[in-house]
Amino acid sequence: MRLNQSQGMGIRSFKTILPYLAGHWSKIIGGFIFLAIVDIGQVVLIKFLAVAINALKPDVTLGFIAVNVVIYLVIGFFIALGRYFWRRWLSGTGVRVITDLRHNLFDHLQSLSFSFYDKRQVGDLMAHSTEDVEHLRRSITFGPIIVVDIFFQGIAAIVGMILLEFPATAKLTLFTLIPLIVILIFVGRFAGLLRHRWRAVREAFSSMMAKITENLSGIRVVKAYVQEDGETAEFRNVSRDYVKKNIDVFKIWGVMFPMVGFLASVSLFLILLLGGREVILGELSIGSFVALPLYINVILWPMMAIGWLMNLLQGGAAAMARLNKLFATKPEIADTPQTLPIKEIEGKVTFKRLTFHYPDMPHPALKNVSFELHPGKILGIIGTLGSGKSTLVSLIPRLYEAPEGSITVDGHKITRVPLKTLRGAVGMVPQDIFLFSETVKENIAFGVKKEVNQEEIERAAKIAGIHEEIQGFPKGYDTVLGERGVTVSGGQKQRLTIARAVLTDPKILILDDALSAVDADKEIAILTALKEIMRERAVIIISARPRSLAFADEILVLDEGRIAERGTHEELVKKDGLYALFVKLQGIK
Amino acid sequence: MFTHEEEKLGKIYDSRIVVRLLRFLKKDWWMMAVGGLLALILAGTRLVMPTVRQIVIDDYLFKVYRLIVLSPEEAAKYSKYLLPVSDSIYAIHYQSVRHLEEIKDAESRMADKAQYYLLDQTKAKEVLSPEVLERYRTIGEGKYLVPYSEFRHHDKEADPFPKKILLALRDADWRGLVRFSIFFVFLALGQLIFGFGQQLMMFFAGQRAMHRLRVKIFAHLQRLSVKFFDQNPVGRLVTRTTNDVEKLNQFFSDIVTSFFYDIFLIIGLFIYLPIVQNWRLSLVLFAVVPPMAVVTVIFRRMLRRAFRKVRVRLARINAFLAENLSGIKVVQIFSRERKRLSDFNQINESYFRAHYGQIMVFAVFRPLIDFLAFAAVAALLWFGAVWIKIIPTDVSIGHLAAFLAFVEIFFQPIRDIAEKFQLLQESMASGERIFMLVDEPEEEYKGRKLPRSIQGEIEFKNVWFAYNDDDWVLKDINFKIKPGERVAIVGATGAGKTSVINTLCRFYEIQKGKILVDGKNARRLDKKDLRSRVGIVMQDVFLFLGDIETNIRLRSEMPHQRVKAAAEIANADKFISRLPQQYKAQVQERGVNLSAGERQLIAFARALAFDPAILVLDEATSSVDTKTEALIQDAIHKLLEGHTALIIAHRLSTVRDADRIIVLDHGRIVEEGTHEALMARKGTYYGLYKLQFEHKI
Repeated sequence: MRLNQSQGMGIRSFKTILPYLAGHWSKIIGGFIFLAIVDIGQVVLIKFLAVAINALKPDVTLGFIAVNVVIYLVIGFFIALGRYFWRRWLSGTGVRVITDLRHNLFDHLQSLSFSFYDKRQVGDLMAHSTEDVEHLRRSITFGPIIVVDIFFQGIAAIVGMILLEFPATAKLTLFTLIPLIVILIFVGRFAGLLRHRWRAVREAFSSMMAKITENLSGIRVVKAYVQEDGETAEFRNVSRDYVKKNIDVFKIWGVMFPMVGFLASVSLFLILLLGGREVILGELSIGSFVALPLYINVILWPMMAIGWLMNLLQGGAAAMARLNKLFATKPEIADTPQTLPIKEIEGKVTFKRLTFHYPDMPHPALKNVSFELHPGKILGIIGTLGSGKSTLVSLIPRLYEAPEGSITVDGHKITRVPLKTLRGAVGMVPQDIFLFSETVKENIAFGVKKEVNQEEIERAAKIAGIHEEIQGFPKGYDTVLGERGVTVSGGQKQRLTIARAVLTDPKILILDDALSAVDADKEIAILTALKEIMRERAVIIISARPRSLAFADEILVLDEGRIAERGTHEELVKKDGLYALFVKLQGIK
Repeated sequence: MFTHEEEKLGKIYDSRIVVRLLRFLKKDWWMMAVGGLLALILAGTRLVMPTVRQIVIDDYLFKVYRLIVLSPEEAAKYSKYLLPVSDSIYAIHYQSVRHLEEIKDAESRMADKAQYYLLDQTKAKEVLSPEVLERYRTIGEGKYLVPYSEFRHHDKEADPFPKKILLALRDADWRGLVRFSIFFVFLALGQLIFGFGQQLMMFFAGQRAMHRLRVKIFAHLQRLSVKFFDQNPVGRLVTRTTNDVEKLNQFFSDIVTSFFYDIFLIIGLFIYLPIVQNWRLSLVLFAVVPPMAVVTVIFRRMLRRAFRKVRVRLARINAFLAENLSGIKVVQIFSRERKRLSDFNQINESYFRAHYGQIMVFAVFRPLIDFLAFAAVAALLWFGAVWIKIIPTDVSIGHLAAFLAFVEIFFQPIRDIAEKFQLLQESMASGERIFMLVDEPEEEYKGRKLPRSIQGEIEFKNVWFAYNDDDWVLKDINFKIKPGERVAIVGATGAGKTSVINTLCRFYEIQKGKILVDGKNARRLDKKDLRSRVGIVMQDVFLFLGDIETNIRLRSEMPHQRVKAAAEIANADKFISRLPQQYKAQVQERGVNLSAGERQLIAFARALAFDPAILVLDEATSSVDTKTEALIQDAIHKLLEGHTALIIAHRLSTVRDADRIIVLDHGRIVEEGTHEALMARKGTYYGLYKLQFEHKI
């Protein structure tokens, strides 16, 4: 009962698919009509076969047989044609629908906020977009097909068999159905048990994966404590357990499949014995006797398909439920009706007594932070590890949501500025650099919407101090980066991302420790070039090197989420506090 | 846009991979042999079943005689086929007509159009009234000729043969039918038993082979260098050992199993049908082979192309998703969602076209094969009719019935071929990836062993080390740690502290210089022996799935007392004893969640339990509560006692307790000395000290 209930709920969850079917109804309905006709057609075919064989008597002309054979062939041709069309229409629509769904899924995923991605693994999300979607496709395509098959093919075959030579075949049908019904019960009974054991197999598989994952993640400990052989022995047990669970499944299906074959043979045996008896008794023609076994083939499929249907629907419903959950996740940061129609911003940002918590974290990442960012000014940020530097700057393009009213942009609450306008105005070079496996040119031009010419790209690269190195790449600006292309060093990556940000011509430029892998002299050169082009823009530079912050208009020193010190380089050095310590350390290097 | 690996397509069939795979079956060759033998028997029974029906029809149900008019000379010539009825009229079995070679117009010489049944006279006289019997002609050998049409119940009233009587009359036929039906059931039972046996053999052979393969991969992974793991994400390696092996299992369970059966069946058909059954109808059935071969060859090519397209484009989708979801933050920062969506749309649509193309290949192929099967049946019917009615031959109705079943058998393997292609291709791709991993060279372990007990002296002599090329992480490092001495290493992030440990344990090999342990070059030592002398406690404590005891003793045999003793020294015994299941408490996932501090104490216990001569400790930076901190400090103190120790220090107490402090900066040793001496110098150490220990960078 519980199973049925959950299945019922599962079926309802498929309603997400309905909107995708719009525009395909003619194909879907046409496909199912063809499918039903084919199902019935192949039963009708057998009747003609029986007639043709009965016509082998001396008193029937060859012409009559020829007519029957031709009819048989014509029906056969239309069945083949029908199969072509339903496959084309039904399976084709299935792929179409799922392609559209995948498109929307990706669109949806892109709209989700940083906090969502912080909690999710890319691998999981990919599994949703490929495996779950594929499961769903199978289930929405083959599920209804099997249902139609079960009804039309099953019923047509039984009716066809009964009517083949009524009443003799009616009785025979009854007898031959008995083993087939046993199959049905058999499959139905064991399908549940089988599913249960399959689940155990999947669980054993998961623990096997977990074991390997764990072992490989801790491979250094394994090696340090010379546990290689012990771990292998342990894995052997885990693998053996998986084999054992597979054996449990085999105990059922290893018996089930030969058993289904056997029961089908029992039906054939009954047709042979009882049908033969009817022939002897003159109740059944020889043609019908020859044709009868063909019905068994036709009936067998719907009987066995019922078990498969269960698995298909269950798997599909589970995939659908996971996808529904994903679709139901709302982007936390998005434009609202309160959003103002602002097209452009100046770049004046104010933080007012901001205290910020990451969700589920006990301690605030930022405490009571106030400062102002002005166009034409450079703000430097320095601080100890985990002091909240990156968090602070990530609030400006609203990657995370700051408490209402604590940040204003050009005097507007940050939540009132359209996301596109805001992010379009911010050029950010994040700490964790990400480049796409595309060409250098595409990577630099990534942030710009309009077409850019080579000169502009090169100009950005020159400012970022990477132009000359790019020219040294095998194909210059057309060199593909990443696994398939050239691998670039950390410093080169940083400068490429700076070029990317510069090219967007931002009102606010944020460099989050963006030059840590670049040597100090080069860093100064790049910063000088940046200062030049950013003259009327706001700039934030986070760095661990005080020297890089020397020409900032104001420097914030963060410690454990608070602004511990603030002022210009000179002022802070004089203070002999935390900043002075940083300077001291660097000076010695 | 997509990674190297996914771009690799693999062939549908690659003999090198198959040969290497079959090697894993070698141990269980007898299972395969038995399985093959059973497949042979199974195929045999499958072929015999239709023949049983043929015999039943031809010998018992529908044994037809005709009446033919012949001259006495003709009759004399063919007497062995004839039963005399009256002057010039003879009864002849309908299939024997073909033996009357000189009589070309046999059909026109037939006395009538009736088909007769030969009724046994003694039996007939027992059950039938003389009035009924009078109606039928008698022939020699005591038989009545009864037209089959009389057996049919058209008119219940005038029925000459009520059911009961008919059954008595045709008692011999009935018994024949029962006999063969029972034989049929035995065949079915044989199929059940042999079918199960075959699946059993193949299943176990496959499972055992996969088990061996998995363990081999796992054991191989254990012996790969740490560097290899730096370059290969764990997820990918897990996939190799699990999913890819599973794909290969399909190769064994589905392809190899059905391969034997299908081959035997096809070969059997080509031998059995013409020789045992009927060569004429066999020729008709075999006539579909050429068109079928053409269709299959074309299909195979189209399907391969379609599969390839699908795979490439699916790989592209996967790569695109992997990249863009990993880089989603960049996409959002630059608000490029629209552009990325349109890029995705292109890839998604191209995948759609490929997938749709594949469906179209199937949509054409399957009905085409079905139509060929219909055509084969139609041809059998037509030629059967000709050979039964027009030109008398040895073709019987029973043959026709049997061949209808053979058509099914004949087309079965072809219908499954597409599915098998797909499985085969997938398993080849998986096999290739697996063997690529297996061929990865293992770490070299062999070397000279240290004496049973060692002093524990460590010396770095002009050591240069880089993870990649010339990117030196350690530059000309020189230091010596005397037995029993405790040395702390300090330095900023990236100064090369961890590299000192990594090279000492030979997780990585140094490029220049020498590392000496008890005066012996570490490079020449047996790696396992060397590592067993060095106890390492890493910064991020790694706990394995399993209970606490296992996490202390790992996979080594060790009495519980020793584990407990180690835990006691490490100050871990107290909190472990408070757990509900104590040392048997599960850690991680389903088990108890240990705090960072407790995990560290367990790691200390682990190091102690192995009792190494040299201890290497990479102190964790994570902050713990003051109570645990005190426990940790105390544990470290006890831990280091009596050991040569190298500590990457993050604790004030640790540096103060150290006999000597080495200060690393950008891969070089810049200062060396005791805490007090270094503080007095007010150099790098002084700055570091202030930042690290007072502000906790």
